[in-house]
Order: sequence, then structure tokens, then C-alpha cells
Amino acid sequence: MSHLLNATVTNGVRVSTLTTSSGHAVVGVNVRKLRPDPRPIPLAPAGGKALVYLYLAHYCELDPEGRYLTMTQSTMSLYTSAEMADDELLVGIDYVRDPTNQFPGSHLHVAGQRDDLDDIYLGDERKRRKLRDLHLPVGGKRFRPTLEDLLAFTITEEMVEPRDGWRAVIDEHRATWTQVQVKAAARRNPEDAAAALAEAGWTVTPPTDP
Amino acid sequence: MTTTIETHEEATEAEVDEIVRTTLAVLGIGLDDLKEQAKLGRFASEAQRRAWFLVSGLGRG
Repeated sequence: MSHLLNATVTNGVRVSTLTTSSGHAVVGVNVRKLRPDPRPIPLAPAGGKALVYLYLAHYCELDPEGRYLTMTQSTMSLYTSAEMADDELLVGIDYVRDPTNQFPGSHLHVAGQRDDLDDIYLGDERKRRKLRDLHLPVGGKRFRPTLEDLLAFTITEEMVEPRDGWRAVIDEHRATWTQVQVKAAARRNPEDAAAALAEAGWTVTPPTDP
Repeated sequence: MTTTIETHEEATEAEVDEIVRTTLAVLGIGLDDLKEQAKLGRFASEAQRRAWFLVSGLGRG
């Protein structure tokens, strides 16, 4: 993560983690026991005043065997200042593996002014609805937007002057992510994966002891 | 995105409890209130949305 950030839009950030004895982990930039909430990261690789700030927090749990960390939730948000106030949210990409509400686990929030959202709200749990309250669905668990996508967004929308070679770095990290997700999807949908390979001319033999 | 961790600290469960207490105190909100906001999918502020991620991510949600 540090390489992805520092080779594209940041300068000298370091990823750290805080783990608990119950197997939870917070992964972010400058996460410490006395200050576990990650700090906003200025997106200004050459120094100077940043126009946008990235809040980045990943939460993981150890698997039952205590060997691998699985991401349980994450939030990646862009703000227009380090204060990260409500009306400074540009976009927030959230992921919750096991949502406790009816909204999609992979969703994004945007902030802005709309006056007609209450007119299209049929619920009775609240009186007002803001634009940033909406959970815009994106990609599902497996193919949700990535940090690479968010960083590329800041560059292509010309909010950040990136480092030379940024595109290759993002492509490299994005390819790794895609590879991991495709393999995971194939493991969880082996018959569909085998059918797709067979259609492409591969010879696929099922395991004798699946 | 893949992640290589560069620095690492560990917290005891008592320290996690203190982290949660401090986080809620700074916001001036109770855990039940924050849970209710999460259930509704609407937070009173961005700071509370981020706090929910921290609190629930540490297993106190």
C-alpha cells in the first residue's frame, strides 16, 4: 500500500497496523495504539498544499486458524480538507463484509445539495435525508472499487499532480488485485470457472476428492 | 491492492475498551446511539461514520 501511494500521489506515508488479542486489526497510515484512527493523507507528492485528502482505513480479522487476515470492512474517503468535515466529503467508498442493515456491503457515498430526496423517501425511520446518506451500490464484494481506482480518479479528474510513471504503478497493483479476486471467485465458483475454461478450449478435469 | 505492513502494535482487550471509550467521549455520543445510526445507515456526521468503522472494526460494534 505504501508503494502504491508513494509512487503515485503521496510522499513518505507508511502503513502501520494495530492488532488486538481477539484477532482484529486496523490497517492504515500512522495507526497507533494511542491514536488508532488513521490520519488524513494529503495528496501532494511534490509538497505544497494539497487540494484533496485521503482517509484510508482497513479492518481485518484473523481466520479461525490465526494464519490469514481477512478484510471485514474498509473505508476510503476523499475530502477537500484535513478537517474532514461533513460538507467536505467528495466521495467515500465503503465496504462491509457482513452489513448489519439492508444496504449493499459495497457502496459509495457522495456529498452535495439535493432538495428533492425527501420526496422520494417512503420510509418512516427518519425525517430528513441528505445526499451523503445514500448508499450507491458498486461492484459487490468481489469486484468493488479499489484504492487504485480512487487514486486514479484523483489524477484523471485533475485534483492531484501525480508522480511520473503513476499509471504503470496503478496498473501493476490493479493487476495483482484482480488476480487475487479472480482466483478467489474461481475457488468459490469452481463449476462456473471450469465451464468458462472449457468454452475457451481448455481441458478441465475435476478433482477426485473435491 | 495488496498490503505490506511496515510497523505494528498490539492492544490488549482492556486497551481496546479504552480506545472505544475515548473515541465515543470525543464525539460526545454513546455506543448504543452509534449502533442505531449504523443500523439506519445514516450517521449524524462524517466523524461518527468514521468512528463506527473504528469501533465495529475493533469488534465492539
